[in-house]
Amino acid sequence: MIYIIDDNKTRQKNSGWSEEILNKFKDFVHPIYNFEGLNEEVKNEIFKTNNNVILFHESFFDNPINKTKEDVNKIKDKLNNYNYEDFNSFYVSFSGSNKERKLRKDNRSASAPVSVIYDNLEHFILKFKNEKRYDLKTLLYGKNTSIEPELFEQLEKAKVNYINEQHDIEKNIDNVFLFRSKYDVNPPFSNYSTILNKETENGLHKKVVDCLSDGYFDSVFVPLCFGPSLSDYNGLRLATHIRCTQTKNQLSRIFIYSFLDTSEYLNDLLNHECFNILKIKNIELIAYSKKVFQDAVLKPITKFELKELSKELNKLKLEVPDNYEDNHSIANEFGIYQLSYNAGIDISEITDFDSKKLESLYFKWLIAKNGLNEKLPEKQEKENKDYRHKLRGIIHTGQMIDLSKFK
Amino acid sequence: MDKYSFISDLMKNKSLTHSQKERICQLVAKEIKNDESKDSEILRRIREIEKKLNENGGITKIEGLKEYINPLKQYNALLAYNQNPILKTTCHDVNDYYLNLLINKSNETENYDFQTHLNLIFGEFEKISNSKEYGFTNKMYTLIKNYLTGKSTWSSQNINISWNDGFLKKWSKNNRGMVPNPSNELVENNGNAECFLEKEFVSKFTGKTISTFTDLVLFFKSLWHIKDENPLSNIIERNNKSLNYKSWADIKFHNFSETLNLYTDVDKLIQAYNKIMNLIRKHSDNERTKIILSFYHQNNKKIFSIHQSDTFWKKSIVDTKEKPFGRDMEPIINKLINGLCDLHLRAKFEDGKCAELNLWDGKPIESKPLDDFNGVEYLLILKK
Repeated sequence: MIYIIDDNKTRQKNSGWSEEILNKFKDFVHPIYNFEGLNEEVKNEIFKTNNNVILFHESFFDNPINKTKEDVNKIKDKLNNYNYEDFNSFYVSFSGSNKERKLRKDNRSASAPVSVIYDNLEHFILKFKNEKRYDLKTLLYGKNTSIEPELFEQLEKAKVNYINEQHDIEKNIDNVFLFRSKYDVNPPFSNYSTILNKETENGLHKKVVDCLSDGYFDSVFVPLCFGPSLSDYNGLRLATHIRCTQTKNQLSRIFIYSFLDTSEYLNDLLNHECFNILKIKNIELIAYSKKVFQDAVLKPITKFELKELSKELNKLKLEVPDNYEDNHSIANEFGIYQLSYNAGIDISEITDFDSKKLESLYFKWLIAKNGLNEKLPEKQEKENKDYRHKLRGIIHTGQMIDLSKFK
Repeated sequence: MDKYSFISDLMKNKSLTHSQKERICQLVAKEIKNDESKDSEILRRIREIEKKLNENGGITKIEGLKEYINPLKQYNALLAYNQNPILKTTCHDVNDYYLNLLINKSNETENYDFQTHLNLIFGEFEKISNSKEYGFTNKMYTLIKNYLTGKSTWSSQNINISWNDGFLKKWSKNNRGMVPNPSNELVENNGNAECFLEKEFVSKFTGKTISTFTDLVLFFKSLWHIKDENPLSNIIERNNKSLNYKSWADIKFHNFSETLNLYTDVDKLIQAYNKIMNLIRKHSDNERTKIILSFYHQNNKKIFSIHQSDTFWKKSIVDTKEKPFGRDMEPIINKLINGLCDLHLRAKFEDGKCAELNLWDGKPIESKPLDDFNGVEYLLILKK
């Protein structure tokens, strides 16, 4: 059993572990919020039975309802130094003030930030379910345990080098926008936005629209690695979103900055669905360095026009997302989009069309690579308007467009 | 005045030497023996006398050395600081629980207000630092005070950002209702902005980058809290590397806990460690020497040990007891060890005898013979 000793229910809920979710995993997880929940019976279960995991929030005893006369450091020492090996059990302390993931040599105890524990708890449970053994590395690093520790180490080194670099980036550069990972150093430019984990998980469409719709920027900086899992190389996905989203910066130059020696991780990158975004015009991978950032900004800009975009985006080969049943269903939906585009109908007017789909990277890519975000020539638009009422066969039911008439 | 009150008053006299105090104790014992009324009242008074004896340090001041300060005083002060709900917000990131607490403490607004927070911090620190229950050393008091008020720079890295900084006030004005040191959850779920420092730096203890005010607050805590996320082994290794100790010493970590929790002055501890390492190097006959470092918990004590295994103590036990501290050691005791930890010495002495001596713990120096022992070991008893 996994015992979560954390006094703060709100924190749990905000971290994605509401009562409902906890209940879903009740065969694996036992939350404890106060002393009452930590009664003798439970203590015996935790410490005198085999195969348990104790996840202990360090501030548990600081909450007035759990205050104890005993020196809390003594309690923590006892918890830390308990002989878990005898019971094949595990111990992980976590707290907000902890910024580092640390697995101790015995592979039986660890410490981590709060967000890491709750972000990876489900992976940890599922791995236990499948393999019948607890793997603390999964709790610390999520699904890609083989590579994540290495990436975090590299990131730390790169940040230290960046800060120690004897170079100052010119102040007041305002024709640049920088997306930053929340693990990054401070933004060197005045226009920036930090990408939160929840934004990564919710898809990046809204982030791109919110940040890049209003002003025009010559260059947009994007981190190669961000989000809960650095080895997802989300920067490639974000750059693809930028190129496929109709904003004022759809064609702006993009610099993807990376703390990795990318040649060492080339295989991983090559296998990434969006790798080919690096082959698209005005997109460049650069190093994590003040000087490189400054030089990048000063580089002359190569002209890039909307009419070139379709051809460029054909270099990408995105796969149909899992939530589509098959190629037919996406072809049907894309067909609807094409028809409405050609007929000059705003897609939002078609009530049964799930407009959320338009935020998905795959759909946006289809639209952009087929030139459907270019404005139709005026003459064609007029003709489409004139003829759209004369078309026979399209029955607008108010519920859906019946495509069977086009067979 | 009865005889016991007289003895009690006599013990309050700080000018008594240790041997005089011992003599008084002997006389008291004799007096009690003669006294037929061995009731509980007498026993109570004896305990009182013993207590007073201990309070006065029980040790004759060694010339040139300051009065003994019990390290437990500072431990308790730091524990109190860490457990005070307001001061806790200056050494941790602020989560929703503490944010609500700060809002509730403010009578004027329904939202978080930085100036109110700041006033609460100053008030609580004043209370703790004036309390007779605890005792910060001067160095620790100055560190915390400068960190909070910005009167001067703080830590050996000379940081000039404080809670009272104009930059922070400006940030708070531009980000009303937001705490400058939010937890990750407040940033992710409440949209609390991060407060970026104007100048980032790298902690010389942890090697981590300090970029935001939240990082700075945690950096401050790392200066006095050793724990599993801030283990002493990492700090020592980093220090050894920067001072290139491996050029003259083979250093091994043995029985070195990475999980012990301890409130102490980390900066001072490292300085004391470096001074002892310098002494070892200075008095070592070999070109290279072997050193074993340990950090462990024993009988309620937390001990950091520096053991030079291929040497012996170049004085006899008697000489060491008579003159325990040479010219090199005296400033280390006065400036670093006193108030930080007790110091014991385990060694093979010049005459081949082996013993453990309590060099600095507020009690008269005594030697406990050891069966066999190789080398010289400095035991820094950080908590007892």
